[in-house]
Amino acid sequence: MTSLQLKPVFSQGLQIEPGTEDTTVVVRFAGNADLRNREVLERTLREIHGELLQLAAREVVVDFMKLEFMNSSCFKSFISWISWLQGTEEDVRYCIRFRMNQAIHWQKRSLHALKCFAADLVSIEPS
Amino acid sequence: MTSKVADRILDRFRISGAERLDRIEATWISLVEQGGRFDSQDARRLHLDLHTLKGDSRVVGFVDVNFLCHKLEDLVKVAEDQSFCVSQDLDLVVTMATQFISMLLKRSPGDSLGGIDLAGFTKEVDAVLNEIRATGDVVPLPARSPSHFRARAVSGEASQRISSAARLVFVESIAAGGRTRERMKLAWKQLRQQIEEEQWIPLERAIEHHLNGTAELAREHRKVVEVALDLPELAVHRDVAAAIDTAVLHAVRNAIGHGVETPEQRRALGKLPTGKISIRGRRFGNEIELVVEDDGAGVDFTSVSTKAIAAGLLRSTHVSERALIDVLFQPHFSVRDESDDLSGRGLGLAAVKAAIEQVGGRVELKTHPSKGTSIILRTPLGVPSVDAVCFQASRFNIIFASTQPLRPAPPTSVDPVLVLDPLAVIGIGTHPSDGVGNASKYFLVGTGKCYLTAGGLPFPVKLQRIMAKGSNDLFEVALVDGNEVLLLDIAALEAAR
Repeated sequence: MTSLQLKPVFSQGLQIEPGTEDTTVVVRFAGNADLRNREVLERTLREIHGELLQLAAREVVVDFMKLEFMNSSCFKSFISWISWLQGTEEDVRYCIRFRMNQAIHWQKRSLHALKCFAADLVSIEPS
Repeated sequence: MTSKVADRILDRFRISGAERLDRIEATWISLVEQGGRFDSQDARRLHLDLHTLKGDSRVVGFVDVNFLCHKLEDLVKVAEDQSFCVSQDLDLVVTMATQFISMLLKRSPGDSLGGIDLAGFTKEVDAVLNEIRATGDVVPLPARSPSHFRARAVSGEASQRISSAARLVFVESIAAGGRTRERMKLAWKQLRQQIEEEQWIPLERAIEHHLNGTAELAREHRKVVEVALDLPELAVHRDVAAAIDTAVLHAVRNAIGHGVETPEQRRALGKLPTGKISIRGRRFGNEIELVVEDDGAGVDFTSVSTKAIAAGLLRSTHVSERALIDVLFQPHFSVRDESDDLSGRGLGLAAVKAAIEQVGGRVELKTHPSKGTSIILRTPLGVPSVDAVCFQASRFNIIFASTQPLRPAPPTSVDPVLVLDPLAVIGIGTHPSDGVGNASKYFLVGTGKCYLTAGGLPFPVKLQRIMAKGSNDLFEVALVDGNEVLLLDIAALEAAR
């Protein structure tokens, strides 16, 4: 896998830091995602999606361990991400593995609901 | 049915369904934003759209859409029971349900669902519904109507107590985590609604006492007046009501003292012996226009001009009527040589102007010799926003604000004794110097007497105050573009240092 071109994003209380763990791309989210971050979040997810396709990645880990809050409008950006992924050819699709912070109640509920949009492509750890 | 016709029906359903779904989503967002004081028409529209989509989907065989619409109806019903003051979980599942339906609409009836786990999603929806029903997570609130405001009368002291509690809840909603945070956010939302409602009172209640008071005052000065009140059913901000009350008080005193003649004088002028003062109000968008009108003598501009020249306020008698009216509003200007308990000190019209301008309003005076005078007050219904600066906290997603100008300062140039961590001030952190030790990591903003650690440079904003603040309170919650910020009392902070 070639090195990542993605840059960290710091936007009004939200941090998005792409990186790698071994050969897997990991995108770490921290802080709060609300209406003010919606545009930047959607744009960043598009860039991540593009980069993952370019890298022919098989999986991406989305780390929510330090994400304190995300409102429903930002969650829609993740639904959009899943629909872009569903719109690509099957042989280039990658899987999205969400790393959930079990201490944060909303993550459990919303990530399990999110997984239902594409149970074949989305997984949650711990499950 | 031919396949062509069937396709056409399906296409039409997809288009109308998508439009309806967009409307459902937009209405939901609007209702949640209105939280508590929601528009019942919006709620009705939401139910109707949802029910129609459910029915249409059944007709064309989209059973999954039909099923999800049914679930969505359950969620909306629960939300309405809570006056749309909803938890984050409920907002999330409703939003996701609309997205789910949108996804299903793009498919054909009977198509394989692929990776879509409808049963799993339904399980999550049911879990949210069960949780809310079991824990009563949200206290149901009754829908509010304009008449609701009329029944309310909360003292300033009680209002301040509620504001104090609300400030603490707001801070806790930032500091807490998990379910506690959600509950605190919800509690804050309800307290904020309560605070905002208490800030609004019916206009009539603010000034109706002038009806009796004015007639009595006139009698004491050997005049007879009838006072008529004609106001729209309208709630105004408490501060605006107080300003209007002050202005009306001085305007009617002015009418009795300077306008309305005695019965004898009126008869001699061919007028009815009883003078008339009317207080009329009309709403213009977000403004109220209030006219205090009398049928008295009108302003004697010759006398005004002579007195103004004598007082050094004008140099020449050749001035416009407008300039003479401006003189009438000058403090301590009166056409009377002597004052009594009613008039002559030259403070009445100045007080009208000061009170109305303080709440962002304006005053006009129109007069006709021997026909009477009208004082026209125009004010916004709510209090105007004020100029302030905002800055991001060094930690947490909090915006602080100050109505005093704050300038950035290089950490090395500031005596550490003058530096405060605003997070500690509001009670997040253990000591006022928390985070200050690492001041080089942060920006510093301050007045010269006091500096605060910040996560960014200050920027100018228009700020709306929403709650009563006690003189000892170091901060209050205010709004900037509808977003909550913590308004710091910098002068109190300087004094507390």
